[in-house]
Amino acid sequence: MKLKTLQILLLIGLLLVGCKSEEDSGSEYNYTLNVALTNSPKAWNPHTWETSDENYIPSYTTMGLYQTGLSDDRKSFKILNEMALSTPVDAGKKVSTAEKQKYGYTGQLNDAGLVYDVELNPAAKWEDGTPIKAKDYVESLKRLLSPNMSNFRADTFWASNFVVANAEAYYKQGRITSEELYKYIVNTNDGVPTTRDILFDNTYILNLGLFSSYFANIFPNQKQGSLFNVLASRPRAAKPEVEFAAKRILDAVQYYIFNYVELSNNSKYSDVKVMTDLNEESLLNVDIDIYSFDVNKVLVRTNADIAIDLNDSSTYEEYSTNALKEDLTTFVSNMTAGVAFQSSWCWKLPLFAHMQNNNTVDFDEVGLKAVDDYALRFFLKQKMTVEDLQFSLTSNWLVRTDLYDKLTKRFSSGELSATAYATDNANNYMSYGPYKLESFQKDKAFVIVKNPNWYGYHDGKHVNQYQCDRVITQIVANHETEKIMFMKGELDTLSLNKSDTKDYGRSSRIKYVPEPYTQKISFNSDRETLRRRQEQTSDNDNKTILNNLNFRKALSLAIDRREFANNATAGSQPFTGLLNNQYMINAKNGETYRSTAQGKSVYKKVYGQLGGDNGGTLLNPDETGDNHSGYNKNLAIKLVKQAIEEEKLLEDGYRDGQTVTIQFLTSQSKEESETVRDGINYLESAFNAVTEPNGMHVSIINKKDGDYYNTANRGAYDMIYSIWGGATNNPYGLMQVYIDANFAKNCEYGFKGHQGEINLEIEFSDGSKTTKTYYAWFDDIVKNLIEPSLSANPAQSQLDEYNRVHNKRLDVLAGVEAGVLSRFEAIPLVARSEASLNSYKVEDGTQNFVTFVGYGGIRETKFNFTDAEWDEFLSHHNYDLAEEYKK
Amino acid sequence: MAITFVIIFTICFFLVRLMPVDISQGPGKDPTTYEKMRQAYGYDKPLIDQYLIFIRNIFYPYYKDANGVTYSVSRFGYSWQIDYMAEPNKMLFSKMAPTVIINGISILISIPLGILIGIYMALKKNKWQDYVLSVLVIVLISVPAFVYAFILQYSFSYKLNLFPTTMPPLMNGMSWFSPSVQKAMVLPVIANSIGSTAVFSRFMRAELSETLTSRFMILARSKGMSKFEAVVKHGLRNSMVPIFPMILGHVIGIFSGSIIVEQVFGVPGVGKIFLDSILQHDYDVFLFVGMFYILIGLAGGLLADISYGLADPRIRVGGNFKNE
Repeated sequence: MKLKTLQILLLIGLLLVGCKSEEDSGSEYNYTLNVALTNSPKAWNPHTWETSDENYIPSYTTMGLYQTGLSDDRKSFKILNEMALSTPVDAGKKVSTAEKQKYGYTGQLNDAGLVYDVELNPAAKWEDGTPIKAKDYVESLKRLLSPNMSNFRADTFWASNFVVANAEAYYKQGRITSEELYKYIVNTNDGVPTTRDILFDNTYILNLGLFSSYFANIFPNQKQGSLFNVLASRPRAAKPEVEFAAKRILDAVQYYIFNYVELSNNSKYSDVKVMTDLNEESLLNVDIDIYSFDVNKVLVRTNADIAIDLNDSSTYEEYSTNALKEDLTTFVSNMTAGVAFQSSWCWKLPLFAHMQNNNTVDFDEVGLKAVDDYALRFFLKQKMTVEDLQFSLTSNWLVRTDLYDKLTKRFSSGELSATAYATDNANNYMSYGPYKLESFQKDKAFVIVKNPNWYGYHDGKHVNQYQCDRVITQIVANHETEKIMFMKGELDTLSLNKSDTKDYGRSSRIKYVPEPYTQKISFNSDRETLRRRQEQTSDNDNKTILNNLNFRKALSLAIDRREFANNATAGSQPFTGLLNNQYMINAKNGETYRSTAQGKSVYKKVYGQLGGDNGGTLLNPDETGDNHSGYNKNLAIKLVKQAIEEEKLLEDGYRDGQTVTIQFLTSQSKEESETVRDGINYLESAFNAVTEPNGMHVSIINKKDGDYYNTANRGAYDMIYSIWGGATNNPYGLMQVYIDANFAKNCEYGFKGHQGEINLEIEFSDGSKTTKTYYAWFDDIVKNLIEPSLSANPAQSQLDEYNRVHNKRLDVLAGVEAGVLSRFEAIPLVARSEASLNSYKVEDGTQNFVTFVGYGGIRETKFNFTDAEWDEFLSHHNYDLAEEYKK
Repeated sequence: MAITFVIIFTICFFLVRLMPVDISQGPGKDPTTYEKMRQAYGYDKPLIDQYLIFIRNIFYPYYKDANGVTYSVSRFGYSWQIDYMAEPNKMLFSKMAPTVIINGISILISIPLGILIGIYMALKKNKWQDYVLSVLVIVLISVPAFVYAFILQYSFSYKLNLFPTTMPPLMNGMSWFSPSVQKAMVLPVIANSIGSTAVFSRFMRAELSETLTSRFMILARSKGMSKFEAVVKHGLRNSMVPIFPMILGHVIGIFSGSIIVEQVFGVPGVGKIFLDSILQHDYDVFLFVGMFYILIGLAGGLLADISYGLADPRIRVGGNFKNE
């Protein structure tokens, strides 16, 4: 009984203690926005952020030098001056001779787009009222680029078109870096590398374990992307000479390490007594100068199947640098991938070079200077237009340096440091945007309130903006919980999943946020791979028919994309192209690629006019379809018939009675995901609707594969969903994922890696035609056909030249898009968009989705209710708005 | 116990350090950055060195660099993935409060309630009350806690609006003991308690039923004791021998959170931390949290062994006793 009494007393005690605490009144706020996130950000430091969650808090608490906002018509965007007072001004003529030398400029700089002055907004302050001056930007950059910090966002200043002079050199200073040699080969005729820095010791390095983007791009079957992985994962059916070359390279490294590397100093080799003790792990990450094979005696096998036996001289021979080059050439050239794989110098492709990064780079040499308290000067390495620079400066690297330094910690080993700035709690961070971080409770919630020291509340330029005075963001991992909170009025937005759209798809509060992604099905079309996969199944299964173009086209025409979007997505829109409506070709006026004549021409090039197209002579006029969404069941049936006839002529082709089994790899299984299940059900039914009239049955076999992109890259698949999107102001760049032979993640196996060999004829607007390889066309749209910069008041000749290049570039873009689509390896289904509900409390700034601005964001959000009125509204509806949101 | 802990810790340390390191390769995928990060994480050194450094840092958390400058470092490493630069010990303990409070109250409710129901069922054995409760207990044991969680949330929070949907954020001086926070804890406490209550009922019923049929119970009644006296003084005490370690096990479980219940009710507790550390390859966190729970488990095992003696003085642990 005593125990029981004690328990009761404890419980009462706990409750009494609780009654003493304060409660949240919240009365000082009128317009609170309640939002939910699935994950808590681990940090929100502008120097380290990687995920969108980590950029969430800065989206309220910081402000770019420039910002995109809604234009007056609310249908397009404009660039606003925010932390900057005015647009950047070309300052080329102000550059001194010493500065020219320091930043490596030659020639005339006036209006060259290399040096810009940006005047800062003198009213900008930190949340504690301290003015923000030019030196704050410079000092923040110094920390971002610090070689001892290894900040993830450092490459913002050199890895895109925004290249600040000496930023990369400063970041990499003092290090001897192993750089991927192929990156410095600019002359593809002779393969001689040129470098921005000196080759440290004029050697080429063989390193089996070092990551190289070359390996990752060309041989992406291993995430590690090292030469060892590539050698070890050579195809089983590799040619004998490839096997031999690979084994000799491994022999040479093993022999070299055992005989010429000081093993006793490294515990990794503590168990190595004889050469064969060197296992795979111990062969990695040793730099070997390839010329040392001429200086040191190194033995390799003479027969692919017989390892070195030192007692039998017929099993080995002495190696040399030239022999290594030959073996590398054999190996690389037989991988049939990449642009230079058949060049005479292709042996250099997997190698590295030691680079001595200049260790005297001072931060003073980095191209950002404080001209005075409120003016910055950017010295760029690469020309930029004013608009491009403004876009680059919409994100801000500014940090409160005293706090940043105070929170910087040294690691327990190595020379690196890292800062806890913008982590863990609000005291570790300083805001300077329209809002400030008031509290941060990890994994639970953070509260953002208006920052009274933000200039925008006093400058008269932000009238009727930022009505919201508090944002409470809760971490809600469970969707059903989030839905209940929304229906009770505790949240103001709710992302809808597929089942939700059944109930709320017709709600007046629904909105769709288009994404730059196109969801496609991608087929394996490589006949040899399909045949091998087919051999592993029963005799009654067929896969090789996927190699047949007519069959793939038939499958594409079998899909009613509207039905697919309704059945298997939460708000995505039917789509037949690779580049959806989000991609702009002119950021100034918001012109989209799809609205151009070239963009519009793609559909006809790929599908003809399905409303009246008879597929050549396949259909009678009364059999044609009547839509323009890539769906034509009648034509698909005819194409299947034609494909079957073609396949029957082939030895490994389709035979009557076989089932076409399509292994469909997905990240979640159909048992786990309703979306996957519904997608498979729809596709299987659509495919069979056009094959069964021809006596063929198609079976889609789902297999869960969390790494399915990489599996597809190896050709170990029949079909996957491939979903690509990119920067919406660069439609040209996105084509890399389809037509750049070096792009690692290209997954249309059968086309992948051959883009440098397969020709495509493109007809230009002027009627002329040119044939080049896909890869050559890619070079054109990203390198050769670049519109010239226009001055503020361009002459007619300048405009004519701009338009000529611009139209030609668009012609090529549309040509390659149509070319890729006409192969029917990548078959678009929908343009992805996310559906969500807005609560009755809030309204977006515009009804039209605007690229770069969305629906206006927090800047334009308006409230229909104050917090008190909203409580009353909820009470009136008994805290259940589920039925209201269905209306 | 200490030796067992050291052995387990050592095995865990080496196994964890043998796993691949998931390091963002940094700007431009610079291989030297990757290598520097490996050095910073301490993964470039031989395993035994890493082990010794880890042990040294626990007792002497300082690092002297090549220039002889000494820096203080974390005793247990850092989190890289879940909570950037946070020390694993601080991470775990900062999340412990809501978990302990909810689990603590759950235990205070579920154990006595479960035992009382079990006693009642034993006393009413094979009567309709026993049948009804037995069926109910089996149902409650069979249904997982997250199902209760959803049902409770949907019914009492959404439809009846009696409780908050999730635990409110701690703002404006609120604490874990603020009335609104405690009100929000009611549903997770109930969700956590239902299963335990059912388990204790079932065990108590089984043990007490058996005890009540023992000869010594008949003897006690024949000596003139009332049924209440006999049950309390003899029946219950004997039945508690196997129940007592169970209670201890639950009390020790106060430190571990339920992933689903915490997620559903928005409790920022420790439930997810262990799983996240594994899924996100946050090895220092994984190691610390794993070791913490192993230590608790070992201590619990020890206490359970000792507790047998408390429940039944005839049971002794260790010593040089002889059979009498």
